[in-house]
Amino acid sequence: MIRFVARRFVAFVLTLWAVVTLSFALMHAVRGGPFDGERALSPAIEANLNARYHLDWPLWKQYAAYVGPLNWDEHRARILGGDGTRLTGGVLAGDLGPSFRYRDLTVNDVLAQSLPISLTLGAVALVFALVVGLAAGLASALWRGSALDVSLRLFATLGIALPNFVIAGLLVLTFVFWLPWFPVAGYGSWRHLVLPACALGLPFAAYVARLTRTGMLDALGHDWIRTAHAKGLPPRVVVLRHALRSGIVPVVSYLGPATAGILTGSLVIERIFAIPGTGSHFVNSALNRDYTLAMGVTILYTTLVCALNVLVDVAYTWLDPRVALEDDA
Amino acid sequence: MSAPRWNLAPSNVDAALVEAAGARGTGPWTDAWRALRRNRVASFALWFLVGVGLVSALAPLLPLPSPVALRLLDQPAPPTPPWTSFLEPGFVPEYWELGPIDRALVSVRQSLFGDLQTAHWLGTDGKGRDLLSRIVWGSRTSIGVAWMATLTSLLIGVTWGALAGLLGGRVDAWMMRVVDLLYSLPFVFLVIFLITIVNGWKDVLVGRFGIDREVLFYVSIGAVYWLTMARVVRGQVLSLRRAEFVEAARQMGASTPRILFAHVVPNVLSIVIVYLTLSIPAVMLFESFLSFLGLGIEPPRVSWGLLAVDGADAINPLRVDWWLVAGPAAAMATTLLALNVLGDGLRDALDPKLRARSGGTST
Amino acid sequence: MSTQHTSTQHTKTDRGTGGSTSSPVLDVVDLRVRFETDRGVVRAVEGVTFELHAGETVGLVGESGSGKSVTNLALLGLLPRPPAVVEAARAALLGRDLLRLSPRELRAVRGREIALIFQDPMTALNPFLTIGRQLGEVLETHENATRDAARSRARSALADVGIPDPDRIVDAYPHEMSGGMRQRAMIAMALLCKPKVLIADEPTTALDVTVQAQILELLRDVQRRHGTGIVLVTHSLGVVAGTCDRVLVMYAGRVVETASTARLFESPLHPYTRGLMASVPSLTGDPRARLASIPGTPPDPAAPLPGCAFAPRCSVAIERCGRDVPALDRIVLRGDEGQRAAACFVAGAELAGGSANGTTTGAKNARQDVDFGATGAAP
Repeated sequence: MIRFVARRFVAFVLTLWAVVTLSFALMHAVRGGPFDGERALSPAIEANLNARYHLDWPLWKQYAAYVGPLNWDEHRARILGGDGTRLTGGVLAGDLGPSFRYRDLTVNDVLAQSLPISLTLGAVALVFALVVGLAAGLASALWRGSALDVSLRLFATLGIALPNFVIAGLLVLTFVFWLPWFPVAGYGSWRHLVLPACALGLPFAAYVARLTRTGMLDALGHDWIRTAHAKGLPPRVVVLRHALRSGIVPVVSYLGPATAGILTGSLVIERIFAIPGTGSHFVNSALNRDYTLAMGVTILYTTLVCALNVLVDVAYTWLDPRVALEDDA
Repeated sequence: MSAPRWNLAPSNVDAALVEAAGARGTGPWTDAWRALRRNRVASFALWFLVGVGLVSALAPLLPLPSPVALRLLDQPAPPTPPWTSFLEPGFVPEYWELGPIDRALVSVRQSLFGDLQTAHWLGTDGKGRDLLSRIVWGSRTSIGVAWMATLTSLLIGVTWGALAGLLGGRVDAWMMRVVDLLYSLPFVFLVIFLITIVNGWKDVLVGRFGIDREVLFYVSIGAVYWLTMARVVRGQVLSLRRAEFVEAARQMGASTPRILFAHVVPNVLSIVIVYLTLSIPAVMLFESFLSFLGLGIEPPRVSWGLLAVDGADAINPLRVDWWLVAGPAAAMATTLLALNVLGDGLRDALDPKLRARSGGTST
Repeated sequence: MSTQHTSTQHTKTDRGTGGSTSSPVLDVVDLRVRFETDRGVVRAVEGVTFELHAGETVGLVGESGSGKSVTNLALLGLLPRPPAVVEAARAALLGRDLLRLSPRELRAVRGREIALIFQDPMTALNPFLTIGRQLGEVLETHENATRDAARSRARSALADVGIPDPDRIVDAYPHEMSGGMRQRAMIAMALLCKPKVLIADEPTTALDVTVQAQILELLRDVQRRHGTGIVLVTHSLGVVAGTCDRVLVMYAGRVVETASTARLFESPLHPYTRGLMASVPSLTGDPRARLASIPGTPPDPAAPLPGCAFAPRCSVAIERCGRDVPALDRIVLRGDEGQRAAACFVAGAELAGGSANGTTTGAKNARQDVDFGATGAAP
């Protein structure tokens, strides 16, 4: 178990490093800096800003400063002749740097404010997707070929076929204008979360429904199901105790990509419903070349997805006693 | 079937061979095609998609209004059904830059239909542009993007996966490790970065290399989607290498190229086809996602993604121009639905195990 | 067809037909099963008739596709209907018609009065649940036992079938056990409620030879102790020789011959049975002799031909065989005891001393005329 976690951690660090380096490279490959879009600045102020944020340093130095061994002003590492109060900083120390856009805040500040909101939204959407998807898929598998099955599958395919902002629009049309049940935008009470979570989670619910249906149909075709029936077990027990365990394995595998998808989808949904989450920050920061914020969000999301993937792998061993915790070739 | 009288003498191999030669079997492709045809929903989906493709390809020939002619003072007009008004005059041949074939088709259309264009069967948008025309012309862009991106991912993915599977050993391990690493990167973010860069270098790329922004668009999407294809192909190649029928063929003296083309390629092809059909919808959705963020197709060109965005924008408390959502949503939904249904049908048809389970029993 | 040359000292050649005077535990008359698929109707079982008495073992022998497994699944209602359609003149367990039971009543019969053991214990057992759980739930369902009581009874059941270290096995998963132990566990599971009938569908096919002998011994032991009637489905004549009192030979969904084991091996009547016997390679014959086999293949159940299903492959087929389907007729041989039956115009006629359709063939000569190749008739 320890070896497994250790190996995964190393892979995670490597991934993170790749992400940081790649995004750093991409960001700096674009001509222009974060202050280009503003009203014309006098050269003196511009030079000042650049110096403050070390944009005048050579690229390798900027990179090293961001990642860790070097550091921002006040706490410069001893190597560079700073006062040496901290040995290292940067990403390695959890400091994602200052935001270029929001001058008085660091990236950590911005994320601390917006992340809980996004996480809540994402979690609700994920739970919604799982609950609705599992129920629909189970019903489809058990009453296979019935009108219920056909209509559920139709809805599921629709959910996969429409972009989530269209679904959001349709939801708003129905539940805000036609039936005034929910507020149209903003963030405040639980009511504000319902429609965004639905819009965000529906495509994934559809996919989970499909996976559950196929998984259960597969599971119900196994020989041990026949044995269970031959033993005289009631159908409910056969499905829930004997078939479900192996039937939901594809859904568990899907949790990783689903989370990643929900995080990506939130970029759009947060914009539509004016939710002050991390997603909306990301798009703006990429477009405005607010390097640190964009990279900070990317790093965060990568961490989340990696963590979830590890959890999924652990969940496998709990689900299927034949699987041992190992990295396969 | 005739009833030859066998004697119960020791096995008569020659007679058995004669009997076997007489039996007419079917190849896996014929079987698959037949299985697909039997699946009525999937067959319908196939013909529907063929229809969509035809309409899309022949768009310049159809008597549709211009998709880009602006009438900025107009309010969005609700749909006028075809039975109310079928054709009306007022056609203006305005488009974005068309290729030579399309230009030729437009001139044919003008000689055929002259001044006439279809009435606004699906309504117009806030800039006076006909929605039906935009949907039809948008299909070209969307389908084009989807095709190019999928083909790119196919090229990269199949090559990578097949090489890894065939070479095996450490090379395979390393190649797959790269795939795993790339898989865990939050690609959407990197694509967004990439496209912002492309925006920044647009002049250089277009001017110096003549590369269209759209081409870069396709390539960058394709570069994101090749990973799954690579994994799938590699898995298939690996299992085929160890498959008994390959071993049997080798025992019978088949040469390696023959094994490759007669046995490995057809099996890999089937799974590639299935993934192709299933990844086109994903790419189309991704394009609409990027268009929503302002990073996708740029006006005056039109794509379904852009239309969907316009539609989403049209939903506000002041006036609900429902047709602006309904039209593109319906177009997208039906096409993607058809693609998904077809992909599922193909997968069922090409998987021999699935077919055996549905019909037979073992005693 | 395979054979086992295990030295089975317990051949049941002389047990005759078992308790034919008492009423049968399982009484099946004219069982027919067909599958209505969109590719046509597949007739899997056409008119199977047999009886099973307490303490008796009946063997169901045939190749794959002969309908032997479908027969048993049909009796317990384990075939999905649709597409299966099951009909019978009679299919009674101790007088109760199995085919007319409600689903709930049927569930009470399964596992409690009739138990089924399947061929491959690796796939027949659920790999996600412990052995103890899978055994225990039978008791929880049928006898309303509590979880703990069920578990301890499961443990003793495992010990009863000869599984070493039952305390560990109760909490183990199927993949942690060997094939033989898994099959023992399955047998233990089947016997928990002391069923009257045990249907064993190829219980030893997936096991290696030494383990096979142990499992068969276990089954015999169980029968001795509890008086269970056993229906043993197999394609191996060796298994039949060692365990069965009576044998039913099936071909293309029909029973083509029945007899006591001893008589069947001594003098097979139906040409198919004879072919099966002949195709068993002999340990004592010439090692360079070619292996005999029955040429041709079994018919396609979706496209049956008129007349006897075996006729295309039969060396003694006459014209009538291509027209009419022979019924399973009683045959009484000189000096014979017990019931024999064979569904063959030729076999029936020649033994009756006459002819099937007018041409006279000497009864004694007919049997020796058939050329079986190098090997003899019985293993």
